Amino acid sequence: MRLKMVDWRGIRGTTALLRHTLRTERVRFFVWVLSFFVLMSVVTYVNGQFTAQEMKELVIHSTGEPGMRMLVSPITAEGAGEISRFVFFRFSFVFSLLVVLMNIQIANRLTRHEEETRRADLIATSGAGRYARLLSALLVLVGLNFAVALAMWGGLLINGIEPFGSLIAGLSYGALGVVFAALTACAAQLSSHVSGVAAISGFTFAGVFLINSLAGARGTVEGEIVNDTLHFQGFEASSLAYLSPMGWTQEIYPFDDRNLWIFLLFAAAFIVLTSAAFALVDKRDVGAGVLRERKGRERSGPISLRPLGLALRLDRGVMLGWLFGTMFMAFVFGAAVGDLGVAFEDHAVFGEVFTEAAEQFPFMLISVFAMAVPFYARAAVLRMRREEATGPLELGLSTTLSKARWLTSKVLMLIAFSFLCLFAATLSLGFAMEASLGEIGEFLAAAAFQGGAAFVLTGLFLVFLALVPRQTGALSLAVIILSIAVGSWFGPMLDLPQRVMDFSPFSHVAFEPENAEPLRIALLYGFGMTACAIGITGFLRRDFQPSR
Amino acid sequence: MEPIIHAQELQKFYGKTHALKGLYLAVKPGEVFGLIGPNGAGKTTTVRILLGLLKASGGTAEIFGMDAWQDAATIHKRLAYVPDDVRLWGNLTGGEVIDFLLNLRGGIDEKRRSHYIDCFDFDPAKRCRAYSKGNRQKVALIAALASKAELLVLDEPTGGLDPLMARRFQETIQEIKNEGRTVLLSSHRLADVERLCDRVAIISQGTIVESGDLKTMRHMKRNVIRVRTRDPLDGLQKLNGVHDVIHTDDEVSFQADNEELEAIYSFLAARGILSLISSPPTLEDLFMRHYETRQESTGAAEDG
Ligand SMILES: Nc1ncnc2c1ncn2[C@@H]1O[C@H](COP(=O)(O)OP(=O)(O)OP(=O)(O)O)[C@@H](O)[C@H]1O
Ligand SMILES: [Mg+2]
Repeated sequence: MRLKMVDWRGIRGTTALLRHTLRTERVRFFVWVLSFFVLMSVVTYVNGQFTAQEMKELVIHSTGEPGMRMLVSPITAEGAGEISRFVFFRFSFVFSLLVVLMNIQIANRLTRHEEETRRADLIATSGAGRYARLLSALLVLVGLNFAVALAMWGGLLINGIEPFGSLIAGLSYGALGVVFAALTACAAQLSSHVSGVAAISGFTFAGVFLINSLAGARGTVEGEIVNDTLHFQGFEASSLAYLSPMGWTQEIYPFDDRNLWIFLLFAAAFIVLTSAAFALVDKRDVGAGVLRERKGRERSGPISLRPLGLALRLDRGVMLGWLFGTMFMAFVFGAAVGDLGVAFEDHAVFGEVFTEAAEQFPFMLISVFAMAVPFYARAAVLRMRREEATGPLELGLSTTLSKARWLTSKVLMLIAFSFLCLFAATLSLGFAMEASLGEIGEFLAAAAFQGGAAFVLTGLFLVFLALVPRQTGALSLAVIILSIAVGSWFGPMLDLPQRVMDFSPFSHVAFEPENAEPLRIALLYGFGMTACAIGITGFLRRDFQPSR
Repeated sequence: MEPIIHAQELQKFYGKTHALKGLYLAVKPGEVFGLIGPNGAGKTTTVRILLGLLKASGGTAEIFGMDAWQDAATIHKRLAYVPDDVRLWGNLTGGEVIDFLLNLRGGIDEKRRSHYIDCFDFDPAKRCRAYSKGNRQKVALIAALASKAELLVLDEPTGGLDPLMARRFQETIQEIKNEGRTVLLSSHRLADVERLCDRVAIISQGTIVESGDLKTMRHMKRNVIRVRTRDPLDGLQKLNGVHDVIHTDDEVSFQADNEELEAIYSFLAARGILSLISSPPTLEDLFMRHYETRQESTGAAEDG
């Protein structure tokens, strides 16, 4: 075997790049770190208001049913009444999701995005080595994840949680983040396009998430009934959890066993992925990916000669991915709800509680599908903005394609597709649960009602696009996060007053259609329509605004 | 003859920036009209208003006698545009984009399409995100030239082209002119403008400061004079109508306003003329003057 000597010239300029990145991205980094601190401390504080007994009941309540176990993290018997474990039991998947999304986004930004916008050309020709960009990006990300870990630690500390366990808890999420940073860095070597990188990392994460959910659903819940009282004896995930880095985080048990060896798993994954990324750098040109850009057709097909056909073709990949992705997720959840039955079902006291919870669960899932819609709508509106800001809209509008036609066809496509996705996911859930036609009808009604709340947000995004185009991305993200955070899922978890919860359109739709108030639903749709109308007229009246 | 493009008293504000300050423009059918001016003068703004992409803050902009903002879609049936900074659909190939644009501009004429693809030596099978700046510009140019549009609006179309392609561009504009089509060409390449344009307008700080037939513009305004005299030419600089005096070893060159020529010649004659060459100014000579006034005034603004 021939050993290759390390060529130190390859990393020349790393520190300069590092400093440059820290300078240009400092606000973004600061906001992320601060958000983790605030989130961690608020969530811990609010949940700390529960009594030990209440926590225990909530744990029992949400582990009895396999479908519900998909969204919570394992917990020990002793931990069930402790705030430190309880917080991670409930919010682990939210923290994981945020950490991973942050890493995918920032790693993509620092690597492939940089190359695609050709800023990397400048750097490649200004004396920096070929590995410098990747190395500096990874160093920055490791630092950022460490900062996030410390922020989470801080959030726990100010709530008086045990310091050592809290530190390990924080680090376990930082480690998860670092693995996804390295994965994204690899993807950035493979694909020559930002969206390709996001797709590779995003799909991998979806797989990881799914495996982890299955590990939860197939896990074991033990309980003993003594004198009509249930003694909860812990919820453990199945060994599938070890196939998913999200599962690793959850298997550490920072406040109980402290399985510190699991950090070795993270380290191994990080080293493998990082080496792969550096090896791939050698296999490609600056600006290109390892996966070659295929040559395309010289002539256009008949469909993409027309604006609507072209729009469909350009968004085809995203739309199909989204449609089948949500349908698949819905199916998995549905199957878990249907097949595996309800634990403790036979028990007289708890059986009733669990059956009730199990009945409500599909409707809660449908509201989750509806909360996913604004993410699609936001992405679609941002694609429109990008087409205007840095894309081909100027050229398109110089033809007989009018602004009105471009906009209305995009908006109609967006709205129709959002509802299509929502209904398709709902149907998929129903079929997987082997629900009766009557039940499916109820599910669809619930979807139509929840869809009203999502529609309001779509309308707002269009208003942003029309009135404050440059801020569309930030504002729409803020609106989504707020309306989910104070909405019908997290609002009660965070113990928010009704007045605050009312700001979220999702709070105005009860989970089950029979409890929903028709007037409020009609108002939601009316509000959504008005917002769309304002957005459309505003856009038609305003100037074309490219980014400069 | 009714002008094809007619802008009067055109005003444009971007927030507080006053980008166009009462601009007047009239382009006649069948002519190639050049629009030149320093960076930030307002060329792209003017062109975008004419295309109905921006709404004028004041004044009127008409193309084919229709309002540029209101009737944009109708106007665009008869017009083709090459933007300043060509940005395309990254996933499509150049060939597909050309087909798409041609189809929206009244149909694909196969002969013209392949003629211009060959002419610009263009590979239509690559994806747009893989094209260089010049190649992206070629996509837009081919889609404009090969269309049946009566009016071509070209905003710095040669910015990314190499010298050979820039020459091809000049030839194709000549062809377009022979077909009787009208062209509005904004450009920084004065050689292009000088060779191709029947008339030009020089725009500076949002107004037209000079416009007209190139030939008359040159002769009416100034001459460039190179002279050798027996006695030194002290005090030349101070004469009315004398600009840009440059002393070289044995020669002095300067620009002279035509209305002051008589006084200037007698000043020179008194110092014993050995040789004198007087020639009309190049576009560059005319243009540079406006460049310099801009710099003086911005400098003053910064001082104040
Ligand atoms: N969207 C905008 N917002 C604010 N100011 C703008 C905007 N677009 C243009 N401007 C300003 O308007 C003025 C005219 O710009 P314009 O782009 O029309 O110049 P130009 O003549 O095309 O210049 P160049 O030769 O550099 O292309 C400049 O001062 C510019 O800074
Ligand atoms: Mg310009």
